[in-house]
Amino acid sequence: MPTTSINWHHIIASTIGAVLIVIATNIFMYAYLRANPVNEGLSRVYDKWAYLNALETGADWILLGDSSCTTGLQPALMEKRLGASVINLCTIADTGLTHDAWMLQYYIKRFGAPKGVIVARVFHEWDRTRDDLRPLVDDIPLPREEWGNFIPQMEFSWQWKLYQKFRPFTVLYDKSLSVAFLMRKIFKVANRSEKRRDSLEQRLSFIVRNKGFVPEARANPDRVRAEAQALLKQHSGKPFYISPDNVDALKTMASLADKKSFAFYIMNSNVPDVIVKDDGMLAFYADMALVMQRLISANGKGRFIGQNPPAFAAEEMENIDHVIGKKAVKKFSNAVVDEVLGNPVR
Amino acid sequence: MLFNSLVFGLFFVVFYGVYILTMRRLVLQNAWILAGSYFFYGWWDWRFLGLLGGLTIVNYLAAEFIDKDGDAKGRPWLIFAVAANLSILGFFKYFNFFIENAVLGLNSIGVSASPLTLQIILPVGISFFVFQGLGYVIDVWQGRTKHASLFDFALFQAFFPQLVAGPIERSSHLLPQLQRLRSISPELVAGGMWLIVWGLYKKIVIADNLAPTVERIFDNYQNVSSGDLFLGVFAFTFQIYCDFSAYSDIARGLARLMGIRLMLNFQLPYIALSPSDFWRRWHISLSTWLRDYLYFPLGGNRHGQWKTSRNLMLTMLIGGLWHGAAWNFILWGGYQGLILLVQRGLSGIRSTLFGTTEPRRTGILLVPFQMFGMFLLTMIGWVFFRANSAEQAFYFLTNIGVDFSETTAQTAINILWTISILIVVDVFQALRMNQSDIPSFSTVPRAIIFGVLICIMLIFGARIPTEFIYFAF
Repeated sequence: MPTTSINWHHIIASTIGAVLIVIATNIFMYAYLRANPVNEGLSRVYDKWAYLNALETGADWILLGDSSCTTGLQPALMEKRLGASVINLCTIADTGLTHDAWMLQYYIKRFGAPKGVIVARVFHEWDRTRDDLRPLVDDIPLPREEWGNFIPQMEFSWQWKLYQKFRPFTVLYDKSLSVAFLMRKIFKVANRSEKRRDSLEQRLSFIVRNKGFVPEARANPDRVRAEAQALLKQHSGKPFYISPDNVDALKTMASLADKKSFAFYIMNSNVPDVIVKDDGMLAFYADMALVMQRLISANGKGRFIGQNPPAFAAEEMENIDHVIGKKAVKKFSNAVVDEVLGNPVR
Repeated sequence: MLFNSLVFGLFFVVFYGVYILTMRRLVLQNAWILAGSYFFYGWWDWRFLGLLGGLTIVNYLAAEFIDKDGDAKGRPWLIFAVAANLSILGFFKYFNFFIENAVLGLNSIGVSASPLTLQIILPVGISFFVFQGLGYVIDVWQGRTKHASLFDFALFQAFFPQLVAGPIERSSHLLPQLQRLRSISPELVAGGMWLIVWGLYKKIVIADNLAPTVERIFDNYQNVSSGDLFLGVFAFTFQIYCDFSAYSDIARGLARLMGIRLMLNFQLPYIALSPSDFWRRWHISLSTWLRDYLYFPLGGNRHGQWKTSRNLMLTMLIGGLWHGAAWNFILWGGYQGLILLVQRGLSGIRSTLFGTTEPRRTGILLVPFQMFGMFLLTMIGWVFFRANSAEQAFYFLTNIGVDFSETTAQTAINILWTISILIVVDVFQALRMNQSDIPSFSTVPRAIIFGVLICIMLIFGARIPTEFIYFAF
């Protein structure tokens, strides 16, 4: 390796060179990750928007919500019984109802109002605020002018806006897990589960084929039992709480349903069976139904369904929110259809 | 204030800006360093500023009287200084340990005694600055260093880059640099920048990323495979090296930016060929301190085999105890003393058989085997050092093996991946026999090396700054 007698020019030049390398690497990774998100959560958000963009025609029914819905509701199964086309646009828990409202507005803008909308979210995420969505918004593959105008609008501090300007230069730090994953892949030291990650094209092709349904593969009953006990401790016998942010978004969607005349269902999504065997949880669900009905009863198009949610054995679940296996998916999809058919909207 | 934290970065930017502005005004600049050093130390706990200041005054006064009274009359002042420093160290660091063990001892012989445990907070870096101050007083007594003014000595005692985790500086090395106008050369800045970047890399990418693996295995040692036990020790071997040498590197780097050279504290310790070679390379400032202020005064190797062995073992036991008030550190010190004695014994046999104490020239092909053997001996030592109890250390040493669990291979890959660049750099430095080559690379390779290291730190660096392990010592 060549060495040199050191002078100030040498120090300044090498320092500038090092800074340029860091900046260039950040910009390159920013561009790469925009096109190829590798974080499973982010990619779920990105993929569903990409799917929505790729659609040439709309569907009669659209499903919105969290990952319980992404992994548990299979449009192909629901279509037969509803006698109508269905697509699954559900994402992840962090997106919240605000993001569901944005997707719905974007959908209506592209294809007009559907016949019906089902928003399926698990019971333990209604207290969340838009803060969980904030870190995800830059990963929506639409210009901000597009989603930024949807309601409920999100407030962004000047620091956040300023930070967004610098994001291309902070990706190595900001998205270090994604970059680390890519590096491990390049050097072939990713572990087995990481190696299974598909490319964006493969993922999108799978999503299109399955109309947005993305099943989970591995049962994890021990995890389910442990998480269920933690949830029971947290919620059993307690009053139901919905955050003002979610109320806001719920009212937005209900009013859209009213205005555009489509059926709007809020579905209390699937849970481990131990949850519905608990009296305290049944009381919690009764309270939840009261609150929800009150929030959407002002118009005739909204319904709260699944007061006692579809329940599954721990062996049929990957975590407390995700069912696995054809049998469980069929049971969950049918349960939702049953609820919809049993609560018609005129 | 941790070197690997944003707050330190901000502190140093402000500090360095003023430092540069006062380059030609020594008194002002030194006053600024002193203020900065006290601010730096007070950031942890301002209450201990009194301890630092008090020790400074005690050591200064002792040195002052020694300087005035000369060797013989100064001796009581030397004893006073040694007693004062060791009492403070003993109180803060060893009080609870000795009380607890005394109670256990009394109870075991049937004497009823109840433990008196005080809630004593360990002042960060106390072992380092106590040894540094004590070294100064001894140096003045031995005439190795000229007695300094209170201001200069206070600066020497509190110099912030090395205050809390060394290197433990010698007055004859650091004081003169603090007493004269300093200049900042490109060579010093280039070297300093390298040491800071490389030190940060070792801390946040290697040490902090190995820490969870080490913790997982040491905290669940009875539930992991024998292969995992090996990996836990292997990972700790690199964690402790990277954590501690990182602090020394950053300290030396910061000092270089200020035009000051601190002593080398680590010289590629894991390429050592023997226990004595290891101690010439590991924590050099402590090992030479113990040699000069403990081993030599005890008589060193001048009074026959038995006394030499006793001196060596005593020095290593105290060296172990210096690290902390726990039996595992004493065991570690004892182990180090033992392998040094075995090495001496083998040298003796060699001397009888071949008439020389020098190892036979075994040829370059055997060097890797010697290195590997010494590396394994070092790993065994780290078991004592890291274990929470003697039982745990014993369990590790008797159960370690190559039995793999489902996750062993992945753990091994992760550890090797984490230390890969360290190995490249250390092997490069070992082959070049020089640790200052990289800073003097020409512009393009230097920019690439710095750029790549910074990128890796951004991606893989631990997010939450964690304390350096040696802060606890």
